[in-house]
Amino acid sequence: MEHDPLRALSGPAEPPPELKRAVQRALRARGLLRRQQPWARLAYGGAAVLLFITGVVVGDRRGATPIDRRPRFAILLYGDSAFGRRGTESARVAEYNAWADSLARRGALVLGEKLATTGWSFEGQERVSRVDLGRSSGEHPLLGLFIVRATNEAEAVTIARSCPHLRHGGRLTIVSIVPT
Amino acid sequence: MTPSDRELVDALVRARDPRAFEALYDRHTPLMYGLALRLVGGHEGEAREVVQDAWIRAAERLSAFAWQATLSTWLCGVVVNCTRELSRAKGRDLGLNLDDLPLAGDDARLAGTVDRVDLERALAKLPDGYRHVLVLHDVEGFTHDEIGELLGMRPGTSKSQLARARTAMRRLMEEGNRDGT
Repeated sequence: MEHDPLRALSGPAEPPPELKRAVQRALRARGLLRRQQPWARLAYGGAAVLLFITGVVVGDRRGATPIDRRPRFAILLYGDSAFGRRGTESARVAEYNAWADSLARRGALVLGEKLATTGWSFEGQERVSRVDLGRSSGEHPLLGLFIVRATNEAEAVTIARSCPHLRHGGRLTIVSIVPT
Repeated sequence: MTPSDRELVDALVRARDPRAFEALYDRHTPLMYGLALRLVGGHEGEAREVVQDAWIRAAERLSAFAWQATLSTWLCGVVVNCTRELSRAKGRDLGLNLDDLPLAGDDARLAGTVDRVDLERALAKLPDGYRHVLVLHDVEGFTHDEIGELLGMRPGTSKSQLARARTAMRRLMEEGNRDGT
């Protein structure tokens, strides 16, 4: 039988180590993967440190967990069928993650999630129907949302303006969350 | 006991279990990454992008996976699709001009002793569409029926594209040899 040199190229290859973390991050951002419980890490890695700190500060700072009282705003992301044609999904996700990370570092991020374009629509208790917003022509389905904290509406608008969603041809709406 | 793919997929779909995902990732990614690397002509950045997209898509669709193929085969199909989408996104032509190269015989495989580096270099230079068919058939061992299903073409088209891809590959190898002497 004749030797086929191309067959010799077949087989697995060692993926770069950072790829796993990137994939896990992307899956978590989409809600496809649960976050590791931070308590588990704290319990093992930081238990001693926590005990020490607690012992030192508990006397005069009991119950002093800071509560962020800044108003919250929802940034709702929409896009039609033309949205995201430039570039790839993973590049876009990496860009959104980097933006969300920068908000988180400033203490401005509460939540960021991507939404599926299919779901169930309810009208009263009787009429329930399956909806596929992604296939409805001429519509701009809700693709995801961020909830952010800002000192006022102007700051929230500035945050929204910097969202990469706009660079990819998406639309967004920002509304304040009414405290209840 | 090592959990099966099916058990891990169940845990991932039902509970979004990070450990189940990690086990699946460790088990299947080397094969996916190897395939992606060959399909994109050895470009590591693109292969990473393809594998990341493939895992995202796979995780989104795992709940509908019917287990009619092995998980590994299904994941490789997802890799192929993501590679095609990347090629389109980067504006690289996937449609092959059927008149630009003469047909070689269907059995005209590259034969004999060929340097691996030369082969990889020539593969990288092939137009994306040629490379995808050649890699899937001659490297990965898919049949024309399977390629037709993966790439959305008739098996006959896969055959003729493979013949032209082999001709293009042979020319590139000859050019490489001439340049090297």
